[in-house]
Amino acid sequence: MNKATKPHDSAADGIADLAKCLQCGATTRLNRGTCISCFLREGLETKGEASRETFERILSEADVTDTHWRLGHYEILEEIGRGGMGVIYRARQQHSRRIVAVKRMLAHQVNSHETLVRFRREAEAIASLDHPNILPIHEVSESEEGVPYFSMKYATGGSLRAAARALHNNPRECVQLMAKVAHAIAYAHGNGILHRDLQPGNILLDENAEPMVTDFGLAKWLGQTSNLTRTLETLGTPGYIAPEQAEYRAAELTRAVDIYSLGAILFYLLAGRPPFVGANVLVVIHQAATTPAPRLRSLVPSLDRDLETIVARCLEREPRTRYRTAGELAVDLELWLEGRPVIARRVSPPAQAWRWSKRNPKLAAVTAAAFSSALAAIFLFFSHAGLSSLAAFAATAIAFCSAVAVPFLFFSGETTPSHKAPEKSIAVLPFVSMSSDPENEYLSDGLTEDLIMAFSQLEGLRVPARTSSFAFKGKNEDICRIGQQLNVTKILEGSVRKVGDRLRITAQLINVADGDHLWSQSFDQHMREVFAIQDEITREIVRALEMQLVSVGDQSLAKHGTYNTDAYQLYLQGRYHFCKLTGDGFRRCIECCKKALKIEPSYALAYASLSLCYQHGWFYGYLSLEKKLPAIGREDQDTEKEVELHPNLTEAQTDDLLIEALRYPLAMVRFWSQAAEKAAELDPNLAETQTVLAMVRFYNDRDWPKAEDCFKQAIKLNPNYVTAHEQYAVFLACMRRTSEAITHARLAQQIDPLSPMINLHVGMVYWVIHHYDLMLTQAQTLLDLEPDFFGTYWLLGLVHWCQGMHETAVTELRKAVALGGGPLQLADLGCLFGCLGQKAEAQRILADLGELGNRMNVYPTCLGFVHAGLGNHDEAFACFRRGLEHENAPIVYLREYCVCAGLEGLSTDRRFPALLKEIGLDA
Amino acid sequence: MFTTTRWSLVLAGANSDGDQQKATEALAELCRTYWRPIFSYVCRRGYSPEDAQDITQDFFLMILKTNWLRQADQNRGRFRSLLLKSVQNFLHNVADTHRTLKRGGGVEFVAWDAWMVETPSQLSISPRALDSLAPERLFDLRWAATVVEQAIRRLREECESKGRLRLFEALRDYLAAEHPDISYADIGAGLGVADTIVKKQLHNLRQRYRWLLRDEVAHTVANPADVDDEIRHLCAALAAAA
Repeated sequence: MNKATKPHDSAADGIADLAKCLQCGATTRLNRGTCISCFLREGLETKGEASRETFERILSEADVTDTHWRLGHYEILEEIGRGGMGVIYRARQQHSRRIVAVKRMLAHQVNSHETLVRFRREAEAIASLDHPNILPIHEVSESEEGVPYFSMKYATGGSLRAAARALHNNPRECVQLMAKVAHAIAYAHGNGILHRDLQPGNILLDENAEPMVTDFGLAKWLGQTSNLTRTLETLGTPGYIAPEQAEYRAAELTRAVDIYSLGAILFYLLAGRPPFVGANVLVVIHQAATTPAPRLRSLVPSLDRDLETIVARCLEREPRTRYRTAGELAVDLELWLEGRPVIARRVSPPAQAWRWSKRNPKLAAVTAAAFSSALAAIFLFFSHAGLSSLAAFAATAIAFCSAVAVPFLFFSGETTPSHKAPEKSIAVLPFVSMSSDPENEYLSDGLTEDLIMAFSQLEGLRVPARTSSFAFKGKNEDICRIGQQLNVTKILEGSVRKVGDRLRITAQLINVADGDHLWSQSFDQHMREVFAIQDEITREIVRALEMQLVSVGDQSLAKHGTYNTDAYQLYLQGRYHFCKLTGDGFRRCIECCKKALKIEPSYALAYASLSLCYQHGWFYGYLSLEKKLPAIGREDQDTEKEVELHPNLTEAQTDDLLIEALRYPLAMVRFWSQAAEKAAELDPNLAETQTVLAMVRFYNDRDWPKAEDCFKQAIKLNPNYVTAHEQYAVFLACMRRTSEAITHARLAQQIDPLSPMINLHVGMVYWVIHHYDLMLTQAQTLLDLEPDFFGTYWLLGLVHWCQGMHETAVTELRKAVALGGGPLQLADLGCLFGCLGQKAEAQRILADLGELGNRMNVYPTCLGFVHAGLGNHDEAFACFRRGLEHENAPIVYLREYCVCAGLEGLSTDRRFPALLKEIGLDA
Repeated sequence: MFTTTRWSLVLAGANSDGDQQKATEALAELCRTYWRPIFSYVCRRGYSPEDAQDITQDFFLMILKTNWLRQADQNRGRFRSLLLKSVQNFLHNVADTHRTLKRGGGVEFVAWDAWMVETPSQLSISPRALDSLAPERLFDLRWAATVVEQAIRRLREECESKGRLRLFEALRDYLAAEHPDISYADIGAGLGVADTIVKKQLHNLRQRYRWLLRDEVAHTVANPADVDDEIRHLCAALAAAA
């Protein structure tokens, strides 16, 4: 039994500036402000008759009964609960005779008009929540005495507190229940409402034992008082409130406080007590803030470790290290129920790493631009296939963004860090370019990426992805801190200097725990030895990590794709320029790749990179922005040109050809397809080549079996290749293989959790399969990552559209457009306007899209989408038909889109199933 | 005036001819009511809340299951002072390793967290007083708060049993002393009765509250004549914390 080293009170709160009692001057108060001294001294007054009989007789004289008391149009039947926040009654609604619960504030708490107004505003906001696991509020009003009250569903199953004992020995049921609660909280968070007082008493059970969260947001307004004593009362329930709730102002609290509470409730259900216990709020908070939460298994040894980890993640003292969203928690609980690995073991990227985009605004902006273009490009695919739906665009966006992401991701994936860094883990920090020529930066970046790629393919070694590692580029941060942030035990760093034909590379391996240098070496060799240098570094690291190579020789090492260092350098340059995601960058990437291919015609990775550049150059529209394209007749098939790959073209000719090709979408598609085919033909054993080929089979050929074969092969070649998982998830969603789609979407997210693109893609997959709560979770994640990213608001707009919150959807889609969204976002907004009957707005967007079409390739499907919203079905199908004739892409998203957007008229049109059939899908 | 108090039952039970069952029940009821002062005292003595929780429960188990009843000195007179003395002795003898007595014996303790949540009792005093108060004084202060709480709770229940909970809620804050700013008219308007009714009912409630408070104190003393003295003692404890 431990004695505290410093005495502290558990039964009293020391409150500064306590108001003195007006009667006796004492400052000792009880609960709601009762002066204990005054109330105690009453006991010394003995005059008068005070027997119970007399008392009750006199009491009965007052015609102030509780039964049949009316509160508004509710007849109060009985009091069923009372707490610091008010009184709850079972009541009967006058007209409908429906039994409801009515909660009113205690009269003494209503101390100002401002408070009343605030309560009403908050209550009405909560009343707008519509979720199956949130107790619905029916009405918000005021009594004749001016006391606010509201009515809500009457939950007949009692509270979770009452049911806790029965649940204690049934962890699965506890988890099932809390997963639903977590989803409800995620929903509320998505609507800007924090609960702040989640505890078992605020989770009721209905007649089917379904959990229903109640008292939503009330603590928020009640806590906004300057009276500290009252604040302590309204901070929340001891044992379940997050430690920061006592420290931060109400406005500074985040959803992390609710996530903490969810974990504390689950802890309580599983262990029979909250994580921390104490006599009062201050004591509990002090414990929660200064000591780690007890491990669940210390109280219940039979509990599953993963469950313990999930709860521990919620109860992290540092809010940023908890689950980012309640939706993430819900997902992990569901993963646990399915018997699959939970994310909590691996996920918990350091908060600082998450802010890499804030420290690297340029890269963040580039990423956003890439996203924008990628999404536009992908939409183009589906729009040409007749997919004006958001789903079609989503699928395209996902696919193309993956393609965009490939240059970022020509390294490998990462497994996200867990709380304790695995021993076999290494982060490769960006090698510093020491060359005097800044153009040589590509070399240090490329070397870094290649090493990441090489290490990631070693079984059992955890390697953070490029995104995370490059967050520290140019930063002079402490190695140990970086290691902690990336959750690795080792760090490889170095420098690269190119002087003429020689390379000087230094590399050192550092142990994070103590900063010891485990290995270091310098290389000063001819450029042609660059591969050998990489291989040597890899071997040494493997040896230092005491790992075993699967096989000896080059097969186990990084696949460079060529042993021609000149071609390799050009390839690295190409990737470097591609990563800029600008028109100039694409041109230079194409130029570099073509030069590389001229030197090394069998360079598969160069072809893959070239394929992506063609895609981007066209879909981004960068190559066309500077010139206004002449009007062409898209139905004129005879003028379609056959474009061949010409590796010897000059840059100007390439531009001309590309611009020319822009006039003929089918030709540009062939550029892309042929490059991908060539890449796979040259080296079918690269995940990159198999992935781009899969995309061709999927989007162009609509050959589902072959596409899936390629995806599977890519994943088999490199299970950590995020693009493969991402694209495969899109494919599976199109095929309506929902659970598999979720699996691969989550895998992609695990590999690259910092990537806004990946998070957007995952969100779109959820959209396609109608998992809107998970989609909302992704949107919240994106909001954390990239609050100024058009994709964030695009995702938010879609999910709110699907949930019928049209006004909110309009606001968010507008934001998406304003932040750089392309024709697709504009078309979505136009369609929504059409659906809402705002025809003038929709027509205006049609005109805008037409204008955009003079500068970039706006697919007919975009226009068809807006027409569909306006109810112009004939025009819509005409656009879809044009799209189908010019591009090949799955149209399955149109079907899902119709569901989301409520376009029943379109989906029931007799032309709809025929269109789907042409694409190759069932209606 | 007073029914047989719990403490008197306990003391009677300490004698071999007393009703043991009733004594045990009475003692258990007292323990359920007055656990907070013990817990406060133990914490003030420097134990962590978790340990204080265990010690408190062990302590009550000890006095319920051992011959503590027989050790109750009738001459002591007051449950409060004897309890304090007992817990002081208990802490003196407690080992550094966790002791858990086998629990049971017909006494069911409410789960600790249920105590925390379902019966919140927030005692607020000035930091200066908190820092300077000896554990024994804090014990008395908590005891005083508990007495007041119990009386208010009983009054509320009596009002509720007669369907007059609304009335109680409206007048609760005015039970002690005269409030110069009280508006009988406003309260009456809220309740739908005349101000004269409000005044009369307030007087009624106040009278009853006094009786209940004295009754609460009486349950902890052996001699009814000690009630005033006990209340004054507690008032002095409060004054020291002012």
